[in-house]
Amino acid sequence: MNPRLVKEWSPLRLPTYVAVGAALMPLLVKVSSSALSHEVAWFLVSSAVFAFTLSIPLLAATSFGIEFHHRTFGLLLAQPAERFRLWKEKVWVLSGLVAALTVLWLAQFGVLRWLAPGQPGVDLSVVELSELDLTAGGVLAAALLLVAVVCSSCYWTLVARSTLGGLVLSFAIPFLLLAILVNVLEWASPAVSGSESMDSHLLVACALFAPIYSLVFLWLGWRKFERLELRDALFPDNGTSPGWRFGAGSWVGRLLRCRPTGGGWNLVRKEFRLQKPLWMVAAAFTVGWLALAGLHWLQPQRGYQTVLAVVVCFYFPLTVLLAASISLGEEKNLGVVDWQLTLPVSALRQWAVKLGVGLVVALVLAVVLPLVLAWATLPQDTLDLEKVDSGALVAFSVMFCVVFFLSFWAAALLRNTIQAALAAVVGAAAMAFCVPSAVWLADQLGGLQTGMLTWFIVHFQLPLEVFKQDVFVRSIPCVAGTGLLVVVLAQSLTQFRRSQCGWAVIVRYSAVLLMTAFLGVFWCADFFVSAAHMNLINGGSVGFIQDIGAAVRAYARGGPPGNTPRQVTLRDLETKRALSPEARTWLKGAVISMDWPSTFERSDRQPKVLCATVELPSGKKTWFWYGTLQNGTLSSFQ
Amino acid sequence: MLLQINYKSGKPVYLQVVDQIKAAAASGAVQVGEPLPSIRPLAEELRVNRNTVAKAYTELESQGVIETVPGKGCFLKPNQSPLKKDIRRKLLIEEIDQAVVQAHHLQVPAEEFLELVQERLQAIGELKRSSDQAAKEAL
Amino acid sequence: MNEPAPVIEINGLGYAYGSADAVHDLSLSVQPGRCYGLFGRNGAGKTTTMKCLLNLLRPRGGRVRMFGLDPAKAEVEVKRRLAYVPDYVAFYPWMTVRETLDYLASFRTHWNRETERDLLDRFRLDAGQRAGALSKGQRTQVALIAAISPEPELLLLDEPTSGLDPIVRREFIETVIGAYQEGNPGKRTILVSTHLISEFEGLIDEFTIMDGGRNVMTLGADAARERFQKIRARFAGAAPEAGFAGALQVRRTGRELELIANGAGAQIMEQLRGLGPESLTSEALTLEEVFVATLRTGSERRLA
Repeated sequence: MNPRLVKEWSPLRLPTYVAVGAALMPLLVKVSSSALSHEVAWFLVSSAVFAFTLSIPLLAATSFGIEFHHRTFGLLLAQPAERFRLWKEKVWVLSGLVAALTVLWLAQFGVLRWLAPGQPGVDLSVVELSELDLTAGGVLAAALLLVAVVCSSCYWTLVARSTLGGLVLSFAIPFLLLAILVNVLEWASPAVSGSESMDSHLLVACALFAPIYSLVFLWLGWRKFERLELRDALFPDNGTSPGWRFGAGSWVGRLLRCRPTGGGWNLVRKEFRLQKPLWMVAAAFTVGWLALAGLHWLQPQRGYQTVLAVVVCFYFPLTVLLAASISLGEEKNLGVVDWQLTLPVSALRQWAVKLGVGLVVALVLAVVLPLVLAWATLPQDTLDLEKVDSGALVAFSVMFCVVFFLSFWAAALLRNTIQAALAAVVGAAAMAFCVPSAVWLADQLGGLQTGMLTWFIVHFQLPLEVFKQDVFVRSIPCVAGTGLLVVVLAQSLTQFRRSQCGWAVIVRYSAVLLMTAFLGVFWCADFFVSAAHMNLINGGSVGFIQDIGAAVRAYARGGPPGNTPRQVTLRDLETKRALSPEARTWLKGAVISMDWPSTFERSDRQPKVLCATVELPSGKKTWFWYGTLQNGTLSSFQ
Repeated sequence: MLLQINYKSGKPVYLQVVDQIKAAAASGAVQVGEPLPSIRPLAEELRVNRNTVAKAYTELESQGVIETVPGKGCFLKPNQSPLKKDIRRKLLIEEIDQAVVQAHHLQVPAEEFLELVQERLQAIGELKRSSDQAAKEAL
Repeated sequence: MNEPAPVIEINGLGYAYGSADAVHDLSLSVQPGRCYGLFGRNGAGKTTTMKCLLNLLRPRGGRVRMFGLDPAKAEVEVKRRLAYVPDYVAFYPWMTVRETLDYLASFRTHWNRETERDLLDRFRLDAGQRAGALSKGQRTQVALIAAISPEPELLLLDEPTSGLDPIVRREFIETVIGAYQEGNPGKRTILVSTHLISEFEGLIDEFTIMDGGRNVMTLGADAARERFQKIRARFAGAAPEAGFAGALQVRRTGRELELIANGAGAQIMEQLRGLGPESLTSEALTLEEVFVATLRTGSERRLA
């Protein structure tokens, strides 16, 4: 095969594989939809859409940006080949890949939407993404927009002289222009309001806008490539950031300039400066938001909330991913990491500063900034913080933590920012798959921790439902999560100190991490399965409870004495039936009152149930329900 | 004072420095009362380890060729004529040895060689006398 | 009198990249106040050894001690007493020269401002210029200033002059001799890893030649120059085919014979004199020629 085309394809491999995986993910989710909970399925599908939508422009930006990244433009342009031929090869490879991926996505979308509605076990609500019902028109518009993004990426990448800059610009600018164009069309023909009209306007706008924009910027991109001058010294200002600089006199520049004393603060200053591309992205986001909010204010009936929500859905993961990985990724790109490690500062301190600054930046830019903007610009009734339920908050923070720490971990293992971000996305999906499989395994294997929990209950004389309380429901996953976090951080610290990282190491560490995640989830699931075994109905399957149950039933065979509870102690029970040592330990000092509650009596035909209340010495109570009473004899509860 | 280190001579560097300083003293390139270059600039100029130059100076001091005046630098010790003469003879012997070996290579027999030496001594003597004369007349 | 503890002590060091051995059973020891050279071809394992000294790589075998401490355990303490000039100097490109030096000074307890100022003047560097716009030579100069100003006990130089123009190279060496070696001689140790040996000829006290990750030879510089000799003989007829014990290399071209002797120079001269040559000369080898001769023989020998 033509070695030049192979060379063009090589750096695009990783984004392509991620895009293929993302395209196939919804199908995979659909196939295993019965095993997945709604949240996990939603997370997987939305991350797949996010990954796919971002990887196409990333592909486009990488094909030119990789030359800047590896500083091989000089080598490329010095070859005895026409610039047009070089440009054409890049564009051909890129368009071939994008076309193939788009076809794949449309095929999978078609399969899901139209071919599978009648099949059992299919839940179409899983496929819907953030309450946006995508019609055929919407899909076509999105496709046209994507074409526009890809065609203009050459120009924007060359302007920004970096992959990331090209990605941001090629994504943001057509989107903004399209939004403005749609609005102009609305003003031009203010007909019916409603989503169908918006769709048709959107479609018209795209059909007009996309081809013109694509062709214009394709031509501009060629011209820029043709006239490209390489004026850089060996080290252009950052491999993946746009070339804007803080003026040396500006207050930010002064704040960020390193001082001769105070090494720790210098580290912090240096970290903030490395995060500069993120500030650029945040600035672009703010501008876009304000523009959309302005449009919303002009035409309040349009309903731009959904658009804003979509923008936030893209901005949030991107920012978190980058905040975690950009500092180490950029340092590796600059070749500065080894030199930094030879300074008389401990590696632990440097690593901790990176983590801290990354976390602060991620929180500020990804969480605080959108909230502030929303509070400032949207009318109060659309944003009601009390309506946010704790479940969503928990899911949100879990997602934040997973994405951030995985990205940080990947940056220590891989060679640059973009690889780390892609790896984090893949890793998050892998972890998400861990959850249902571990839960399924826990279901199959039964409660392995029953014995341990039993011991706790018996020896501390705790009530049987103790492990089902909220405090455990909340804290057990936290413990598992903390354990996983410790493993992630420990691995990233170990790798940070070492200056080389081969594939064997990456595979080994990923395997360890995945295994830890799996075991963590398994342990949690198993804990709850075990706790559920201590059920209150007929004593469940745990030995000592069954024992007590049998003794209580034997004692109660004397028949119902009416509705007065009968108080018995351990000794009384033992007269009827010998109890196991465990049961004896648990019941020591406890008082059991047996009662046939009248509330359960509906008619003589209805079965009666024996209720035994065990009052433990600590004052806590546990209730047991036993048997039915029919014709004067006790039989098992059905 | 021009010092040159020859890495091909097989002699330790510090000894070369010692010998060359002695030669400079003997030939009058350094006078008594003129300070010798201090260690750092000399080491920089020769691009030689500073400790080597320091060792050479220590060796010279122990041989009594130089003395260190604190605050002013290193100076040649006065009254060195016997040493100087020794060195002068040694240097000349080296040159003569080279000429003898060369004569052997060029297959010039010993008697002819000695005749040549006499001839050259006379010729150069004549040259010196005539140039002295010209200098005197010019004054 | 007790011998002072070595500044660097390496015993049986081993490191491999995957399955390929980069360093195998390397042992050497650097005494304080000396200038030690680590010579080797490209890929001989010099940079790997340096990285093991700096705890950038964890040795797979053997023991490394810097100032008597283990660089993996007493990381910060060891690094506080040394300075490193890497082969590929990279700075944060947005920082100016002034800022880069300030940044590096902030991690050190001692920083000689005067030395820094003198060196900036001597190299004619503009302190306000961005590090990203410096040429390769200027970057190396800034790295050297940053290494010398804190007046560390040990200076580690990894291929410091490769790719620099001759004037910058000379200034580099003069600066190391002048600015660094001032001060307590027992506290100024240098380890240079390079393949441009002729530059550092005068500076090196002792050296080790590495080849294929192994220690081929460790010798003092003066001893090496004394021991290795190049002997040239010209004969009336064809040069004799006799074998010469103790000759590292023998080259015959028509009537001339060129030998490189390792220590047995006097015997070989005797042997040759017996064969009646027309002319017979011998001269010592420079360190670079010693290096070439040792490695060109192809076989590994342990010589000490």
